[in-house]
Amino acid sequence: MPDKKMNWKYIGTGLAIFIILIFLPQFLPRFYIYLSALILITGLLATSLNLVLGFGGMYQFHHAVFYGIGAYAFALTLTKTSLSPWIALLAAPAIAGLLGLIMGFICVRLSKLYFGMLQLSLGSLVWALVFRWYSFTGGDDGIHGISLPDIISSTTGSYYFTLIVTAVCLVLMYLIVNSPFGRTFQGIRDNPERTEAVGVNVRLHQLIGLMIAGAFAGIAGSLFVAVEGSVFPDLLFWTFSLELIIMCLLGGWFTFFGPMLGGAIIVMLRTFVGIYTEYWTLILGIVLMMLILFLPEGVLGYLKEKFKMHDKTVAI
Amino acid sequence: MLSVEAVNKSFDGFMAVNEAELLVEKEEVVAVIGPNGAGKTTLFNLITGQLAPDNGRILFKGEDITGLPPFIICRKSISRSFQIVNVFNRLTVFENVQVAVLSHQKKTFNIFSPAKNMAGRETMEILESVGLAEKANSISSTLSHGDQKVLEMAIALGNKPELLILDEPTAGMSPEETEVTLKLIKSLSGEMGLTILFCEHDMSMVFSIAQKIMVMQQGRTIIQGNPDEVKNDRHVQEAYLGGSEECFR
Repeated sequence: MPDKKMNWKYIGTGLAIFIILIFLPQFLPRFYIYLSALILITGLLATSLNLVLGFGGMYQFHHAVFYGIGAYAFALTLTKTSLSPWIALLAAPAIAGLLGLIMGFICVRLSKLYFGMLQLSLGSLVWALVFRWYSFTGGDDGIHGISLPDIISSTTGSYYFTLIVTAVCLVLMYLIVNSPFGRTFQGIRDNPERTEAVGVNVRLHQLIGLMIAGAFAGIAGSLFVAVEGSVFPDLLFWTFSLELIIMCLLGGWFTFFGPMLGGAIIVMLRTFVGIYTEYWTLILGIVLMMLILFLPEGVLGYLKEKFKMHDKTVAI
Repeated sequence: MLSVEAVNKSFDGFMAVNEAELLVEKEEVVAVIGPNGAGKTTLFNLITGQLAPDNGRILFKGEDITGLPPFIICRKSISRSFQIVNVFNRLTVFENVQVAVLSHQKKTFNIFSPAKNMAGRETMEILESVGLAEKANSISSTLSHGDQKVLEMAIALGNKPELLILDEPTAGMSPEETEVTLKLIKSLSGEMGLTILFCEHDMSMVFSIAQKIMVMQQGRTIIQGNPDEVKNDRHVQEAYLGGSEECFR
């Protein structure tokens, strides 16, 4: 069967990239290992957004909230309780998923832009809470110098930890996108009215999708803490959410690995252009304009079209 | 099987459906006809839950389904197609029908096993029965209008309905495509024993397959009866056909 062969090609490519990433710390200086970890985390976060954005058709304008809350959940459990760090790690997806469920419950009755606007305002509310609640979250100072288990406290250690968790999460999300649930979700994206007419409880599926996306974003947040050892309210500021949406669009929001690619491009752009000018968002703006004019389906979407990877049975 | 009793629906004071009455018996093919704006599509939307009636009752197999949401009504085995093409644009033809079949098999909450080969046999059977099997892997937005209308029907069949509701199944089709669709509807009713309710402007089609016809005008039911009764009804001739019998020839 031809699509089986295609499948192996994708799995092979994925494994090859994974193996390269495993050996990366042998060659790269510390800063680049740190940067690679940051790319993985941001890519994972953008991919989790794309679950609901590109595959669910829901304009989740403020996705960074779940990332920030995941980071805070992990950091606060570590600093305020005596629980084992590995259990504290579970707090991130649990709390972020719960928040996804609560915010989803309020927003899901609205559609498209109205959904996005309400989600943005609720998210900003959460940000304000974190920003102001000095006694609990540390307010705008954040929490710094969080002590982590030895195994993940070094740059290389946290890199490997990030790599493994990101890989596992990507596999899980890939399975979800290609499952009956994922298929139904794409049906809802294309045509909610029709999906409801074939007997699907659209709102319930949307709600579950929002919860899953929130949980994965929370995991990305906990990885950020593992790499940086600190949290601050900027993690859940709305401008970062906008960047995440750009990552999805840039990479290709109807592809699975597009947001990962978009995340890598944006993080590198910010890092390297940021060395020369603080107006790196100017470059971002130009990139965005080019994107809209020349690559409306994103980089990976364009490549998929160009090389006729029209094997629609596998979402890449 | 289906009975619509004195159902009303108004939009901003405009009575789109006004005391409409409709009766569909098991294994019948029933057509709803009427001029544009008579309320046919609104009536269908009321039956399948896209809209809730202001008052009146809708019974299906003796059960009151008035005002239930569309997905619940669908699960009671009423499926429908839409007048304006309403498919899943970015999915393949196969996936379009598969979404409905997966929903029917209650597998939509299954989040980790691959969907690729799931419900494959059932989906392909439907595609073969409507003649879209060869185009199974095409993205549905690339199909011709006629094929998309057929796909509409195929999606509706994915839920294995007892009552199939078709909103202008041949609208915008070429005469050849209309002919094929006509045969398809006949075989759905004849071989598969489906009960079919449809509305249509093409009178030759209506009179060639409908066993009962309901005539609507300005939201009201003028008459429901067999084709001969409808043809010879004075009210229908006056109101809908302008007093002439020409339209039936």
